[in-house]
Amino acid sequence: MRKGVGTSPAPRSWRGEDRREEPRRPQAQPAPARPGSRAMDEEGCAERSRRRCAASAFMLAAATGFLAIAALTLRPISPGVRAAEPADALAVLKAGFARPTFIPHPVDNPPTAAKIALGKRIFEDVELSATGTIACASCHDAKLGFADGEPKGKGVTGRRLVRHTPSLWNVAWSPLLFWDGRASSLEDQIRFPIEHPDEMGSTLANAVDRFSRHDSYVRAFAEAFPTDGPRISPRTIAQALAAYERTLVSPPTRFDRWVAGDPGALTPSELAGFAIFSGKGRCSSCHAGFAFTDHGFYDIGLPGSDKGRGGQIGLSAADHAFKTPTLRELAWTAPYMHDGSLATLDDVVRHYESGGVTRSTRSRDLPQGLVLSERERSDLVAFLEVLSSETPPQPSRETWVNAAMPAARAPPADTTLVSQANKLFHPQYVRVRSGELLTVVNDDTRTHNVRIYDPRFDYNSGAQEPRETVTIRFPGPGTFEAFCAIHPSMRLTVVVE
Amino acid sequence: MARLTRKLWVGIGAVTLAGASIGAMAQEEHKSHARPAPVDTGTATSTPADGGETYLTDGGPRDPRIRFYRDLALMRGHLLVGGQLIELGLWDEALAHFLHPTEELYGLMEKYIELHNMRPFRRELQALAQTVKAKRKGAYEQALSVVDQRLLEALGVAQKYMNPLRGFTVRSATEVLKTALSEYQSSIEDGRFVKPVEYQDSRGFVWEAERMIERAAPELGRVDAEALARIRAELAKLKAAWPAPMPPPAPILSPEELSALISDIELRASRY
Repeated sequence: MRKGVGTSPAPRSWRGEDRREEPRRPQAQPAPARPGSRAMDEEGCAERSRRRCAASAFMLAAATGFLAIAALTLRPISPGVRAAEPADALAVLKAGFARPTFIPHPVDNPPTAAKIALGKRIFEDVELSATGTIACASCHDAKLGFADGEPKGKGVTGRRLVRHTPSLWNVAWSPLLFWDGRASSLEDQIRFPIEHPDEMGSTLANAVDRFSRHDSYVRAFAEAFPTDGPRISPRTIAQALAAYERTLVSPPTRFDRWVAGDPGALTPSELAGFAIFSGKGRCSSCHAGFAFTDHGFYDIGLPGSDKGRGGQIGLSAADHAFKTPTLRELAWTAPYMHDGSLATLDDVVRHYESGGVTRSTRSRDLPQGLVLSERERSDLVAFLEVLSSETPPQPSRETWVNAAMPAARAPPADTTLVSQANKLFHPQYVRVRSGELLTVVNDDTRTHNVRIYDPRFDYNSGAQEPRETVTIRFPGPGTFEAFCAIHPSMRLTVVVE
Repeated sequence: MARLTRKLWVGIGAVTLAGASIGAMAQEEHKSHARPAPVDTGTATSTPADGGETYLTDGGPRDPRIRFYRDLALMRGHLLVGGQLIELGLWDEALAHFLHPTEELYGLMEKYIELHNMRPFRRELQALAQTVKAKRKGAYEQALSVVDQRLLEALGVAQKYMNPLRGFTVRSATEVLKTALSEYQSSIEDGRFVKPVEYQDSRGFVWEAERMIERAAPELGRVDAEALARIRAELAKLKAAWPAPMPPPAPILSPEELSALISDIELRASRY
């Protein structure tokens, strides 16, 4: 959580537009800084002019959310009194957090299934790094909320990086990227980690060279960029990666159900936490909108000499200011803050209670003397957790997210299919011919695996998430007993003839 | 966690129905906080018709405090053996041991956690499992430290209702050993290990039971040093069955030999 006065790159013009009706605009709309805030992004004019147009729709909606929350902040809600408030006040508040209905892809990089698939492939390819050992996914691991779960990660040199790896959830809506906002679009952002000597230590030109040697990449680029030439270039690599990263939309949670009108979706404790979040705690002054970020930069009083935004724009008033992170899927992306110094959400809340380091740049909007009871702290943490999926999250599969997503790959033709569902293999006994493949697809809602522990064949599929398949080729004829090591009562007998 | 687990899985549905009754037991426990009830050494074999809980008919302990302590210890046993496998670089092998705490145990403990106002820790366990799926040592260590903290907090709350603690500790440790025996039996078919995960489960549980005994050892030694020495000796013999986190080519001790050793430990534990 970050809060307080700081720079906010978001256009703040607000005319009450409904984001869901907002058309994609060719240019971002300049807007004044938030009333009462200290504008610190003096380079902002030039930067804003470069900003991707489609982000403006979200910004307008974020402003809508901010004003709604500001209204609420003036009159803090609590579960006990909320029912007595005008229904439209809560409706306005909820509208500020409503999920978007489209991804703001820029007009000069429209998404296609081929481009997104290519971007995902590049994202997971270690060829991007100088040593051939680090991919984007090495630090932005899908299993770890597109972060790395460590206070500070490592790149090709093995040295600890300077800052904590941020999650990539909802980056489609970020007008500025990185903790210090040094990139103004996803397409622009791509080159920084590739070229940083401590991260991937390579160059986009090097990536072009490597990909051009692979026929499958040549074909994939031709399919993704049919009218462009030359097709493998720094620009197309960046566009493919950016198109993929824009699909990393956090999935709906119980909070979204509540916003959408299900009053029973949140527990009393979570509702009480929301009241603190939007009232006494003043968290929502910065953590606003669908993604729970205003995309601004604030010094929240964490110790350290890192200048953050100030160092980036050469403005001492912005020293120690870092970007407001999204709170979506927060429970899956610990540790927290730009330095990864806080291990739990409890620690985060206690940081704001303590106020952090006193210095001239520290945001004046940070709550002064915030004191929470154990119960209040617990409620606030409960609310923060409800912004996360109940189980390890996958990118949203809402139809508006999936509009241009690639279709799932069909299993190979020469294979016997076995399903995992309801903690059983279906069927539980199969015959395959020697040399024939056995494909096991996880049709369940939980992680499974396939484990065969036999002197003739020691096989472990590793984690097999829902909808994932594994294909097994047996070493020769015989009967093999396969189990799910996670649910050992799941048994599959395979007779290879 | 084969046999016991299967019974426990059956019990999951029942525990929902039986929640109110279990809640009543726990409330009773709360009422007697100032002077906690002595350990109930009974075995949960009563039937619903007898006024018992279906949840408590798996042959495990009837006392919910021991059940909770046992289940918490089983979680720690899973994490312990999982950590040993990770140290060997066997991440895929370790994964099940980080998923079992939520897949098999947490649901059974959840009502107790709620009733005693413990901080829930399901998501922390799941986040830890994600780091193992990702095979990232740094993230794993970070997440494990959070889980360790949560488990210690939960144990701290639970132990407020255990007096004398040594009695609950040895009884719970014995239950952990019985579960280990069940796992060990399930890992073997036709005289060889076919389910390494069950073998590893049992190893983790035995190692955790030993840790429990050792944590209580100063007090146990004061009460009956001879019984403690015997328990330690039997544990040392028992551990020979698990020479490494991966199974040996053939079982070193038979389930019957393990059962005899565990029975002896249980007998000595009754001194406390």
